[in-house]
Amino acid sequence: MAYGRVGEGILKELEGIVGSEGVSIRPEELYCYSRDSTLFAFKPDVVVRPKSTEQVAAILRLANRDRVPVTPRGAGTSAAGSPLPVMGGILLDMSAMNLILSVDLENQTVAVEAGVVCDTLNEELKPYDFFFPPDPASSPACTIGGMVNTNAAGNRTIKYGPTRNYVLWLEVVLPTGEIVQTGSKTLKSVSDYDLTRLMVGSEGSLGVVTKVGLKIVPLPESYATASLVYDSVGALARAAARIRLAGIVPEMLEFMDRKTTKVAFEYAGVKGLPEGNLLLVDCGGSKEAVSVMLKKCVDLGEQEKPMHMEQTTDTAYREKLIMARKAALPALARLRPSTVLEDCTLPLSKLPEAAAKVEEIPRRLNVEGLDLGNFGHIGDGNMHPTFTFDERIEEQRAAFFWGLDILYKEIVLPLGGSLTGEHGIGLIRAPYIELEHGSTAVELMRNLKRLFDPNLILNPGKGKGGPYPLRRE
Amino acid sequence: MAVINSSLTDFREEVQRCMRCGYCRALCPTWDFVGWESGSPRGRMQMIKALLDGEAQTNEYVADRMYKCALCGYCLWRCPSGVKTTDAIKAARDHLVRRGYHLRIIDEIDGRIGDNHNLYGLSKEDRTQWIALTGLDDLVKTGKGAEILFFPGCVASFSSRAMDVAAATSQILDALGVNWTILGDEEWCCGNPLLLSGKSGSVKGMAEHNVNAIRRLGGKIVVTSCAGCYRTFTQDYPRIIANLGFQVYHVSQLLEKMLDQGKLKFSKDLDVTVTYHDPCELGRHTGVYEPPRRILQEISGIKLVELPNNRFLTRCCGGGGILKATNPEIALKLAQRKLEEAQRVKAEIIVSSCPSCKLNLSDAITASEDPTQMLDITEIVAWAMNLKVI
Repeated sequence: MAYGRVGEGILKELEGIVGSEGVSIRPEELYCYSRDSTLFAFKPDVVVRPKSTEQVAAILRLANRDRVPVTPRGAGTSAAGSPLPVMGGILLDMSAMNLILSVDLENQTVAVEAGVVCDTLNEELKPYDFFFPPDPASSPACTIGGMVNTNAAGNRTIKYGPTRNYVLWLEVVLPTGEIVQTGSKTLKSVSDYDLTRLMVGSEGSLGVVTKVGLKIVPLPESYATASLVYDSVGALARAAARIRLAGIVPEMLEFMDRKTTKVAFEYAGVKGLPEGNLLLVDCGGSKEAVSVMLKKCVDLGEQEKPMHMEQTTDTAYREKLIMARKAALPALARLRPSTVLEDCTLPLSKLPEAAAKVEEIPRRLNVEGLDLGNFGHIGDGNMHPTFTFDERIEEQRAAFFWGLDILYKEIVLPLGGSLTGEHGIGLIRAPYIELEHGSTAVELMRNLKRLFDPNLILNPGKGKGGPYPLRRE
Repeated sequence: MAVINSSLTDFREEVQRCMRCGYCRALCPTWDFVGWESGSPRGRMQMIKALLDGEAQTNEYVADRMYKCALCGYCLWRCPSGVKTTDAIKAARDHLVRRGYHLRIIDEIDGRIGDNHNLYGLSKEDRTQWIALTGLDDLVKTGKGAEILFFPGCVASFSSRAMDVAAATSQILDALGVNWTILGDEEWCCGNPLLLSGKSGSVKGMAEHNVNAIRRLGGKIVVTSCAGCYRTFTQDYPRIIANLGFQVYHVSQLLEKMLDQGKLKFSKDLDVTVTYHDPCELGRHTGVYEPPRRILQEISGIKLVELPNNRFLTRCCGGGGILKATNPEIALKLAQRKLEEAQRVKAEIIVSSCPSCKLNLSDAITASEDPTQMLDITEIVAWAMNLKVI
């Protein structure tokens, strides 16, 4: 059965639901909404900006009736192609649903609409000395709805875990238009199948998240940060492993390779460190505790003979270092016209081996103009190898896809890793999902998708519920 | 010399480098008034790409989005990929003008400046009306040779609500005993409004006129009280004229220097809580953040409180980028936001260093019937020096 088209009739009905100011078929908008931060581009037929759950429900009932594809989008910061409307149809821009509904300090919870930006929420919580810990690099722009759908994690995962750990309940509109609330407003509940966790990381394939209940936690009293610069990524990875093995849980245990560190420091204005591979160790807690913890981390890191080590408790300098680390991906765009990052995770013991093999990929591809920078959350085994090239040159574009094959088929999966730690399958990793999970598990996921979405209208063509149009075999 | 009016095609690689990370959306002052992706800096880069790739047409919709930008430079500063967003948007405005899709107000501005060499279209004799405010006409000897040349700019010269800035600056200069002069009716608009409008092709002649007039008077240091003039003299004129032959100071920089030399002294205790708003064109565009703060900190009785977003993180007050002419409602809302920020830090006075910021923030104060006072840095200095303008 083919998907329905967005014709005049549907447009009028959409305008009836959200008003004409919330519907656009302007070619300029369709172009702007056709991209995320991958190199794929798919235009929707129409962009709709709902402002309430009821409007979302009405849109989905309409879409389900006429089998029109619907692709939800938060801030479009995805690095996986998840918010791209592969099959056209309705692009549901959720950024207008951006109210912080409640801050309940007594119960240490907040309720927000899906379009609230991560950093905006934390700015709101800061005066109360509380925060929502997941800290993706895109936190200045990404929405809570997007974070839920990707189970976003980021720099502080080693200590606090990913978004999943903080989602207490969700309000979700099913593809058939019904509104459901999953989970509970209490901090503990096992009264349902864990529908909340099923939704978290589902990449907008099972329902449209409209409201989110989150746990929040107190901010650490103080921080102390160390920068250790190594000549090789291998030594850096071994230093990180020593810290993990010692049972120390810093706030952040992050890394950037030589190329990435150079451009990220240039952006953030960090000066005075020698060129090399950076291990960033950030400890949080009481003043006494962070001092002791950081010293232990530094002692362990020094066993791998860094070229340089420095410590700081200066807030402004710490913020610069973190800004550099968070901006690693877009900073790499200073080098080449196209920048695409990957999101593999590995068993901690395999990180040094994997990092060394990843570093070899450009040499193996041997295509002029294509290179690779690597950075990530080494404390939790999550690397973001990032290809830099020019997508307009066919040889480089083809080499990039070949590089993905090497990364996943020859490095990540044979070493027992996973395709994605916090960005999702989306489009870019869709060709590899069966290699990780096997055909039976993938078929089970597809059947689960059909249970929620019998007409396969919601974010079709990608993610865990496939089908996968980008399969290249 | 570099050409000041760039073609859109010059920005092909810039917009290609935008990898759509979205960092620029976070604090873009105008995006949330539009809401659609095309109203964000990232969206504008995508639209320019679409125009270059033939995926979109040059039209009124594109013009609406390009002129809904305050050119505040936040996105430029924020962009990790180093995309020259504001230059690209200015080039898009030039492109829209060349194709005839610019807003009508742009032609009005161009006409006023073209006919009368000032933003307001008034006669050149009116340019020195502010001198009367000083009450000391003989202090300002128009056209005499002097080492320091004060360039008040159009807003402080012609707007009755901003003339105090020019008057205060002249009184301070006089009180400091420096040898100074003005171009008087020989002063032309610096060209900044045209650079921001998409009419940058006309700026070369204006730059040449002003620079030649300053050279004729033997000016070695040009002092501006307008952040826009300062940006134009320091960033844009050197792209047109290789060697200006004089230094350019914003008045706050000159006053800081005088402070260091022990020449600038204050005689009055003000006993007020003050916050400082960084004008985009003085702060993010040209990096002058500290001199106004240093001056304020030296004035007895001033309690200086910072806005939550200050220095390079400052949110535009809406007074720049010709937003006040093209989208006055958005400009006013931005100023009201700024006023709310000032209220949150319990400031009694907002001080800025640009007459355009002063005008727009004053409009927000009037519209909100708020007791907060709006002063230029020169006005509060004159007040602390017990000069007559305040």
